[in-house]
Amino acid sequence: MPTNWPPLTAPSWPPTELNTTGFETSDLRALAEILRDAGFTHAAPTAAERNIYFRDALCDHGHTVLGRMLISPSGVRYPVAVCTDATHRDILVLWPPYYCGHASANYTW
Amino acid sequence: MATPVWLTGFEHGVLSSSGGGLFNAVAGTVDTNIAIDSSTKRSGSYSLRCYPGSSTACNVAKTVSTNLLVGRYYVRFSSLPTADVTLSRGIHGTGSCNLGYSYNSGNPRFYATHTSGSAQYTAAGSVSAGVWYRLDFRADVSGTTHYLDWQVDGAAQTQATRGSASAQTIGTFAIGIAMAGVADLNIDDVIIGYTTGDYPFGAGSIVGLSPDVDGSHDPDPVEKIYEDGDNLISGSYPAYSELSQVPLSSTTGYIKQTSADTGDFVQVAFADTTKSTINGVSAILAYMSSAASPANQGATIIMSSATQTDVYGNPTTRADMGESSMFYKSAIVTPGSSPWTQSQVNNLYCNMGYSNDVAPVPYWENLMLEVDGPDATGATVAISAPITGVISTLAPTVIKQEGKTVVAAVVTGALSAITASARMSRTAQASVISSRLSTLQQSQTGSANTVQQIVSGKISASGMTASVSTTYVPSPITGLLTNPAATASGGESVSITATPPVVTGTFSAIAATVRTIVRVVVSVIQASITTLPRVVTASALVIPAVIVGNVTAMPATAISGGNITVSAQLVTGKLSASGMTASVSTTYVPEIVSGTPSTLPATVPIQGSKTVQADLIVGRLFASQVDGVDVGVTADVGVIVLSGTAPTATAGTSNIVSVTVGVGVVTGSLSTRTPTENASARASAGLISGTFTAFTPVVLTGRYVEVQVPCLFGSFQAMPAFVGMTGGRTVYPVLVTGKFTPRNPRVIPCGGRKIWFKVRGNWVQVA
Repeated sequence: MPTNWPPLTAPSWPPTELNTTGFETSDLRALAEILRDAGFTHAAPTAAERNIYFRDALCDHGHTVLGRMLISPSGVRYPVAVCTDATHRDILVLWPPYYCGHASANYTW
Repeated sequence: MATPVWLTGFEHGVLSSSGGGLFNAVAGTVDTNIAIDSSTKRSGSYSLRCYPGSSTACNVAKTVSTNLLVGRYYVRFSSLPTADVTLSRGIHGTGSCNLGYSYNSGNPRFYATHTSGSAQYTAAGSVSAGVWYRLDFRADVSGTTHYLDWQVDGAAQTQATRGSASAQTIGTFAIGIAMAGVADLNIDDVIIGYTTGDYPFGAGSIVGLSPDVDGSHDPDPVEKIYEDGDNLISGSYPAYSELSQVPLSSTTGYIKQTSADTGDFVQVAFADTTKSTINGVSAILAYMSSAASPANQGATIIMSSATQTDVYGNPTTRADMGESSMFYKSAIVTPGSSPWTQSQVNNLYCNMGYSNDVAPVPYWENLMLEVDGPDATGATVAISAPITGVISTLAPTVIKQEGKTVVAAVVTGALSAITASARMSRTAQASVISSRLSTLQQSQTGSANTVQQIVSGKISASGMTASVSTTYVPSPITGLLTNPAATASGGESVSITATPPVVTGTFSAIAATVRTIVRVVVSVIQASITTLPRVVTASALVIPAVIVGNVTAMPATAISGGNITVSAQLVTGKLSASGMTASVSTTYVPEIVSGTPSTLPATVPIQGSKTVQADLIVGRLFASQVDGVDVGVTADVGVIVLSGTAPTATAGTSNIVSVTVGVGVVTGSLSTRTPTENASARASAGLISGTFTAFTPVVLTGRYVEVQVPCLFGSFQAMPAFVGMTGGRTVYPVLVTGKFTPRNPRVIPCGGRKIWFKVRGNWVQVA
């Protein structure tokens, strides 16, 4: 399991814009494709968000993470975290088991 | 050969995006509004069910990367949605290409459309609940015009297009309720690819093949790989049984490599497929580890001859299996030689192991192949006899044989349900139906002591054999129709309880005199058929028992006119002359009515509307009889013979005419019918005795002869004439020939003239 993840202050998942009661993906690419279709954008976290969501988070292999914010059409900002280990490249998400596994962050959005 | 990039019949039984091997996205709450369904499926063991009660997106999605997406899937609505539903989407950067369901104000139809394009529809009302529909599509977004070709159950539909677009790449294929909607639907047998020539994939199904035998491990015996009970994989502890749990999410049984050895692997083979044509094969691995961290190593490959497909890692570049929950990987398997053959599929092997890092210990949990191929074509399937059981279990079997011929030698169970199943199938024949025939009433043949039922409906009496088909033609009913508790069927209302046999004897004697076939409505047949036509003795009073000709009603006046003793049945139906055989037609309702003689006439229902064919022709034909006026002798020319000997001649007056003779229509011997003198008349009448000589017929058509016979005695060997009518005036032998010798035979009008008879050598004049 990831460490200090998911953040307790993160907005509830899934976003209302997806019009569903639950939503999970296998990797960052699938997540990005579908969120983009729903009108989402993404951005780097603010200093406050970085401090709140990502500062103490570690992936399930204990690697540090980089944060990214997914922004809904209504402006809600959802955190995701990408493992910094070059071979692991896990992504931490807001649905169980809160990570997507090996190489799941290998996607450039 | 088809070149799919993903296929699933949901035979793995899991809804999860973990690892991306099954799906790359799942929308909805698993087991709340989206689930794997083992009840409703088109093929195999599972389908996908999406069933939100409120507008919700419930779907699975697979990541793709193409500007031309070809696919096929099946959809079934448990009930028809009352609003539009998007069934599938090929999502690209500027929208999507969609197939969907259009409610269309209660005339539902399928549609295809691009974002910002015009939708194309199937015919209104072309979608029904409970039916699996096959949707094939080919979406081309490679240019500035986007195209969407599509078919429903193989029928090509109008292409949907979108102009003024830009070239796009489809990145996600979502299926289910692909955008928020309300429905209860199932999806099954999904296959997609990037090759335009694969369109349409066409009818096909996907089966799941689990490991069913170990192959050649290396080394053998294996040294580093154990089953979950910590026994080395071997003949006693095979690997396949650890890897064959379905759903694949099951953690019951697994194999694990506990020591690094890149040369160690376990090999398993899979159950065989019966498909002879293969569109594609997908291999699925479910895996995890003893802990999530740190990364470990392992490999899973599929071998088709010497051709290797990496499911997750390979012996050279192993993959991280370090997950603490179940993850899934899959790969489209490359055949050893193209195209796929059944043999190639049945000779696939999976090798697992090769680990050089077993911390944490990698677990291979479950494996499966999903194989897509065309549906089997129909063939005659013989179901060995007998089929037993309630029809609820039988019918689905028959349904699954749609389009095939099903022959069931013996079927037991509820007949009504059997009929239903027969209609479901194209052709079904039940040779023998026994047991529960309550809906038709049981039919038997046997002796008079056998309690038998009225037979109606689809039953023949010849050994309880019924042929069940959509259009039923009943067989004749033979045998006695006795029934102490007979009740009429077919809508008749009969209140009489029957006790005697309806029909006894044979018709042979009657048949001998049959000259033609006349349709007769016989309301009452007196006595038994054996004696028909029977002359009732005078003491029993007279009943014109047999009506011959196109008589539409039994002479009710005759029945009701006196103290009639009737021991007759009411017989309706087709009475052939060939014995006691009734031919029952579809519209025929055999009816058995009898009762005590005294009560029968009063309760016999009028059968005037029934048509009965009786092969009975007896004697002469009389159109009617009216006392003293007209005996209808229009056909009475030279046929009927009245002969015999009057044994005693006694002098009498010539105008005594009161004679009681009851002869209806007579053929054959009348030896038992001795005309009886009317005592009151005898006192004043002269008697005639002696031999009657010829009475030459001179009567012409339309006329009659009046012969007044004061009294007749003796036995007449044949008196095939209607003599009938009492009343003190006239006896009407229609035409008398033979031993009456008229001195001056002539035609006379009714009532006035006399005829001379020669009696004992003397002429006697009668008035």
